[in-house]
Amino acid sequence: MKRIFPVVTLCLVAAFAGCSVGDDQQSGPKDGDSGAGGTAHVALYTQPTTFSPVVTISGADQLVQQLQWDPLFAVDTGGELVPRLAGSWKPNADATQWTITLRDDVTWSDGEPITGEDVAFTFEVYADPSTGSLSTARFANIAGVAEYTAGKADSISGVTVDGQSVTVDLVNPQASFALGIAEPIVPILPEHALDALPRKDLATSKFFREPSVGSGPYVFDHWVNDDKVAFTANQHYRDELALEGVDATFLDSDVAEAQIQTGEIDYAQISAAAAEDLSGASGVEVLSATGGSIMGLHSALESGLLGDVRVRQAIMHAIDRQALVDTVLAGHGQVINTIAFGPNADVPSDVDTYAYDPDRARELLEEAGWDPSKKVRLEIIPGLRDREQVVDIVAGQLREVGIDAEVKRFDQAGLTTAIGDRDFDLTISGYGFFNGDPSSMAGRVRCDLFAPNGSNLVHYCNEDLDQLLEDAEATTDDQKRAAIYEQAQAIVNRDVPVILLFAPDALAATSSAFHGFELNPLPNQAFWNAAEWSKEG
Amino acid sequence: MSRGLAGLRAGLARPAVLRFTAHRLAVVAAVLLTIVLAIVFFGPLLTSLDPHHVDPSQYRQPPSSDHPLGTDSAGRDVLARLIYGGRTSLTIGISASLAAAVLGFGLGALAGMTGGVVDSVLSRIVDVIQSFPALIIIILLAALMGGSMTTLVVSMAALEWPIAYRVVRTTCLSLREQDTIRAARGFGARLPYLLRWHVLPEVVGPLVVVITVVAAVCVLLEAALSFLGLGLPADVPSWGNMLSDARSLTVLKNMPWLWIPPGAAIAGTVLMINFVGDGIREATDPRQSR
Repeated sequence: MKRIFPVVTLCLVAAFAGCSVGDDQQSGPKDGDSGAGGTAHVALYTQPTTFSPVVTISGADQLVQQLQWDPLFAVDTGGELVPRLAGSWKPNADATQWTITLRDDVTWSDGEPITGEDVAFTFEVYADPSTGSLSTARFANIAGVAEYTAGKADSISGVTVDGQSVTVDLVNPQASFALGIAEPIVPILPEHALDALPRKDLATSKFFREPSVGSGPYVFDHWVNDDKVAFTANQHYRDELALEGVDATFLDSDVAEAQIQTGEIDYAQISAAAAEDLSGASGVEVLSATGGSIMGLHSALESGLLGDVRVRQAIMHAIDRQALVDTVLAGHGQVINTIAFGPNADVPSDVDTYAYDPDRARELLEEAGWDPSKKVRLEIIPGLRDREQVVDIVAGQLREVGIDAEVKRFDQAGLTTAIGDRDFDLTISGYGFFNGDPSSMAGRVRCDLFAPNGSNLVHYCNEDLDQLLEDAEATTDDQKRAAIYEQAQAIVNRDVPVILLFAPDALAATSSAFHGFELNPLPNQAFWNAAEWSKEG
Repeated sequence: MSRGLAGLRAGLARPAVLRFTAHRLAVVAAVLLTIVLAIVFFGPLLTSLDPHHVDPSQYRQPPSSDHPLGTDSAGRDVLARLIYGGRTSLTIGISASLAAAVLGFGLGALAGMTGGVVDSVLSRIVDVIQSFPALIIIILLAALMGGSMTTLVVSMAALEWPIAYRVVRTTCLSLREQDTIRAARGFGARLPYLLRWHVLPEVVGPLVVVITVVAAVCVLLEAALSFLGLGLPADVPSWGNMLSDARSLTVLKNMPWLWIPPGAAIAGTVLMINFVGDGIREATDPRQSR
């Protein structure tokens, strides 16, 4: 009998250790220190892995990078581009040449000026596959990139630097070039700190684990493994900063929701259930914004498991997506049937809405000759309660129509490996900015944008769709363009490259003492205005 | 001769049963535990409740006539999950403790009866295993191999057998020197024979106590691991998985039907197992009887 109690205690200790991350003894600045603005504590739902913007697709990475690095321009809460390092950017008449002018007062955290050379260097690193870049496709339209990556040129001929001014020549007209390098965020990298490193070692270099130079408002100070990453105010930042530092702590949403109420943290992405619960709590502000991101299930289509379009359609019918929005999201979202959605996305009125219909799902599976003994993994990075619940429900509903689904948890590194190995069945992921122009879908479906170099994660390829997207980019007549996109949307709707669940609203909670935080509808841009944050007391 | 001794023991069993029944708490616990086991292992045969049936329209509904214990975050019936979850949790607890007891008995008897180098090596291994907190090692193993029932049972058994080992080894060390054993050895009895006819009857009482203690520990370990998200996959019904819903403050504050049933089931079962173990210990160990 006696033996049991130490174990009980141990279990309880371990259980509660998961609920509250202890105060960190070694952190320097604490709230209320000598007249300083204090430290803001923000929650990340999973541990970031790198400060390299070139090799990441993870939301947590992108958030800490937003503190560390400034991009040329950021996406504001209304979806518009606002200046960061760049003071101005404009295309020529036919959008084949862009001129980006940097501000004169921008410097790195070590005092070196940020110049057009840094921009040219950054574009080279992104365009060069030898750096492990996951974004080469986004830069492939710049003139001279092909020669550069083939080793026939020392620099990209289409990028010309004149002091603070950078001129970019494009191969094909691209009116969305600026947006394309704003979301996902493309921070500018310090040439003077990185030029000496071999390009192929960049991704794994110590610099991107513990960067010594930054350009964002708060720069890296130290890691506390499995706990947090600490930032201090950039002394050379162009604007005055109110905070002394920012601590980004890794907490799953349950814990973050508890700690926001105790005042231990100042910002957290929260679940819909908590939004209801916290909205009356004192000392807490609940923020929500209609989201432009989508939540979907992604499969390596070439693996064959979900290669048959009827299987993907069956899955759409098998999931009661409206109920997911109504219950798990408590109405904070909308069901979508095309990747690009919203009033301006030229979605035809007669798209298939894939109503919840398990019988139809079973029919489609039977037509496709689905083998009910095949195991299908539903992969998830745990940490966000809403997502975990969605996956539980989806797994149950898939089993009901005869798909033997099981939930598999991954950490960020494990999932990145699985994606690299093309070994994933149904990965839940949310990202993007798709409620504006329909051209935003292109990155996810074009044949030449396969992951890892592009963002076509599932390796979906339909040449008719590619042709339509190309035609649309080249069309200046709005009506014709809309007609082309309607056809493209119909194809995406029918082919289901991504099992679209819904477009969730962005939900966050901040402590009342934390000011200046503006909720961005794009979750990966949540720290877009960190320079304006401040804290009372 | 040894058979005669066994016969004598059978005669002594009656007072043991009597001593057990004198332990009121143990008797009540034994009855309740039997009921729990019956519900958990045979209940699913009697009801049509499906612990896997999700229904988003029944999201986190409080108890009602359709769902006596309400529904969880995937609209699944909490009562059904409690029953099936008990099956999972108790299967893990019972199989891990039996495996640990078998392993501990085998190795403990080997060490105790053989002595010498074998004993030293095995005892040092036991010291090493016992110097680590089991939960930490199991978390590591679960993270490396992925949480599954087999992983949990194997890793728990691998870490919990030293308790049985120590009990059996100590008994063997004293038995070894007794005349009965020397005589049996003199007649050419081999180790398996000695284990069956001399060691087993002697240690079965303490071993049953160890099994109850370890079973209780393993039920708690499963709950702790699943609560932390490191145990069984999230959609497998188990008491620990059910309890993990309560990590959310919203659930903890407003939805007691999601965490009181599994919490009470874990606490109650572990207590009952311990009371029964207590009763058995007092019944089989005359020196400690009142």
